[in-house]
Amino acid sequence: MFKKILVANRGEIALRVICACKELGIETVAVYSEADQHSLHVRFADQAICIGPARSAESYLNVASIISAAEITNAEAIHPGYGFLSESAHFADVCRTSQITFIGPTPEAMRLMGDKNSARKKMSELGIPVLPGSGVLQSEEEALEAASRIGYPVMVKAAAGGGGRGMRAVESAKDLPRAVATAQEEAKAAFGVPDVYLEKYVASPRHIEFQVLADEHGKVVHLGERECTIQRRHQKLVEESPSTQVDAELRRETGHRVVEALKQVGYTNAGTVEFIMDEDRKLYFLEMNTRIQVEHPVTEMVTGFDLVKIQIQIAAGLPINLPGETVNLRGHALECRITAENPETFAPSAGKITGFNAPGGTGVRLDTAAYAEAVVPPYYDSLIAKLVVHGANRDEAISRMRRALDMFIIEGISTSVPLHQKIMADADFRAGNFDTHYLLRFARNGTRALEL
Amino acid sequence: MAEKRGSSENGWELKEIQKLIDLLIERDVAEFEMEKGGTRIRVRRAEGRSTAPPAPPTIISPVLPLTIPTVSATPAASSALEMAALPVPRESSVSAPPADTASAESSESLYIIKSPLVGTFYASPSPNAEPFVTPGDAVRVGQVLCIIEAMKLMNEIESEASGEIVRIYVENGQPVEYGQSLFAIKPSLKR
Repeated sequence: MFKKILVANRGEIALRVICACKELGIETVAVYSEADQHSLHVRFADQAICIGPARSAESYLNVASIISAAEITNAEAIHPGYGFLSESAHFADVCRTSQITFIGPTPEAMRLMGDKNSARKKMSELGIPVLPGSGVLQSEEEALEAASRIGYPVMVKAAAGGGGRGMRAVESAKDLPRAVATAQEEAKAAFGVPDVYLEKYVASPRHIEFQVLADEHGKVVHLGERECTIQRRHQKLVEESPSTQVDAELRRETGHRVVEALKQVGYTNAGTVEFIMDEDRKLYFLEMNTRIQVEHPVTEMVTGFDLVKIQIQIAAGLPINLPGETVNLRGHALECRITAENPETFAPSAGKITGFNAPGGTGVRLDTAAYAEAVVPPYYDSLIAKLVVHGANRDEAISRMRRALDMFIIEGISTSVPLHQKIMADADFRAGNFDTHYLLRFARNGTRALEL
Repeated sequence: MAEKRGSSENGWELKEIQKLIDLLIERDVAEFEMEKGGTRIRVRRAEGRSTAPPAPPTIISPVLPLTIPTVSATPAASSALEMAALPVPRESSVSAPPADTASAESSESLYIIKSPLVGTFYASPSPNAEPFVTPGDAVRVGQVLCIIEAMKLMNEIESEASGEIVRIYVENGQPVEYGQSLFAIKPSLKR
């Protein structure tokens, strides 16, 4: 087992990794930018190294500084968290050549499954349904042919895009050539690469993802699904497990196909396979995230497993000790992502937290690096806390979340707590009746804040 | 809004004063004066505040990280003023924010060379060689002062100032982090 792990991240996930390390008796090294001097992850790590100024590019994305910090502290392994360098195959390569264990999949698996196009191709070959689509478009003729084969409406998507950026819907052939040309220009400007492809457009989609774990001895398991349909501009706000749309049979069957596919790919460590669900409850592979995800606590609550600990154990060569390829899910878990944003306009709200009361009690978990007097810096993403609840069933989970949100006090900055309170009180949410356009209902008249 | 609402005799409520103090600290204002309801308040933060970093934060209760300023209220010629949510001084008796004091030596206007890298500090070009510089040496801009090794690459660190080395903060072979103080230079007047 590792003696010392460097956590290449910040905020709540860095703290999360430190928690797992502490419980495993592993020493921790925190890295931080000058803006994060007073962060909790710095406070609770055994050692802390300043790696650069506030800008992410010069600190948390600075491969040389992070590797150097691992070298001077003799850290044997690096946990990359999520975001930042967690899906950088290049960073995983550098760890390998520096003889530092990267706690995650191999660079090869990251390259194969991290690229949306190659992942789609691979999964399709392995029998996982993918949304009908095309390859990278080379000509207008090809675009028209592919679109008529797929069936309108179609979505034009940037191959290098992500998080919902670089997408537009097209209703008919007459609009297609112009839409493709515009999308190519935009893709070039935003992502540096003009490649676009087509995909079937689903009018009322839901987002279902499967959590997988794979050890270095060929064992692959899945821990069921999470539903992450409540999104704004493809940023998730609320996640839950299990999904109201997935019955035991669908879970077993999809999970099995995912496990078999990842065995073929030789995947290791944690990962999440994302699907889009259409109006007929058919699942189509969307993409794979080759890392631990923000919403992993939801799965931890319904399975009782500590996924970050398991990641570390897998990276240390330990085998996964499950007899079958999955476990039963127990009860229902919900997560609300609390962001430092105005709950109506979504404008970021950086600044000092002047009052803070964390909710607790039965079945409530708060993952956060925020505290009273903490300064939320403007340089990084706005997630400040994950409020997670578990209940015997979905109704109890919702009522517990409402109670916890009511008792969650954050003063001095604007947060999304009021929006989450509205969602939890909403009849459609409570009935499980929603798709990815759900949040539009909370848009105020005239504001474009909730446009998708 | 109404001056009479819950106000004490001298026109200021304790809560208002506390809010004012919080605002001053937040905005890093050293001195502030304001008149309301016939009372003038002057708030001045204590000089020579601690240069050590604030104590590690606690999650449980708010703690003011800096020294508590002194407040004195003296009656003055009446001149009613509305207390807005974010009070603005009526006259600008606000002095400039105090200069950054990273160490006691900054008060002598020493130029501190800080590490631009994470790595290992080496005082000499090679293990048995003489150090690049020692205290008392004159240096000029661009002169190599040390090496910082990062990921097996030896990076030469050049001086940003001309003058005299007065202090070296780190030892040969010591790991250093970004922003760590390496050398103190007393700048010379000519280039």
